[in-house]
Amino acid sequence: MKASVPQFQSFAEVVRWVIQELGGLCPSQERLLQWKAEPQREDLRDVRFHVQEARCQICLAVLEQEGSSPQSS
Amino acid sequence: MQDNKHENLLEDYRKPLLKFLECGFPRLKDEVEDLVQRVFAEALECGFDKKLDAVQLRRWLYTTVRRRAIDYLRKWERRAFIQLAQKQSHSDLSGAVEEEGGAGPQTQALEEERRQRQGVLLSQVLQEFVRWCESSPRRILLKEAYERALRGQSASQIAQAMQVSSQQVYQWCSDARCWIYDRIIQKDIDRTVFLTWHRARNA
Repeated sequence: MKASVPQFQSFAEVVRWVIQELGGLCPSQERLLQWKAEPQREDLRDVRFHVQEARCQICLAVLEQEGSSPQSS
Repeated sequence: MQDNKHENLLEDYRKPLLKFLECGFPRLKDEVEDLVQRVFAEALECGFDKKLDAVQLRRWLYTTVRRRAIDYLRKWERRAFIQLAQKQSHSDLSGAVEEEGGAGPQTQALEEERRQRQGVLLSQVLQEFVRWCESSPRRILLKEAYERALRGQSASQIAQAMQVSSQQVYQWCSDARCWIYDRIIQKDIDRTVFLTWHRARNA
């Protein structure tokens, strides 16, 4: 079964979807990995919010795959 | 024999890539097999399985499946904006029908053609906004404040979490909105993609 296009009733719903599912506010991969290495860095506090508080599923998946690969396992 | 070895190399990544897509893009759970298969085909066609070393191949595979997943969702984003624009222009057209006695085929064709030119999507503009913020350490706080606002936090909640004044939060959010709006204006020349936003701004 193919996934169906979500139905949006307002611009606000599209904005939420773009942020949550399309990674509209995701940091660059470079900064994401820098944060993983040094989570307390103040210049990466926006990444900390994005991952730890907002729990961006795309960034969490990227971090998870960085920690488990066919090579590293 | 050699080809089998390369195919096996890709197969080692199948399960991890499927899991990655299922976790990162749960809405695409019914598409992930197709997406991974297409990326494997692309890798074989370009010979990346032979040209790249294991680390490079792994990076290429993950980056590419992620891009393909986002490309897939962006088609939906485009359709969502078209649907919203159509709803809006249908109500506009009904007003015109009453005033002018009906929208002719030429008007409708013009509308269709305008919609075809809707090329700029919010996700692209937001990604440009993120890159702009990341290019200067001064803008990191602005980005955090705006993301908090977009995720539903009030100015006072943001101020408390970031230990700044509410006035500062208003200023950051205003700067962010202005940057994004200006970028949209530059790209959405016809003002057809973000009708609601344009109207709200001009009200």
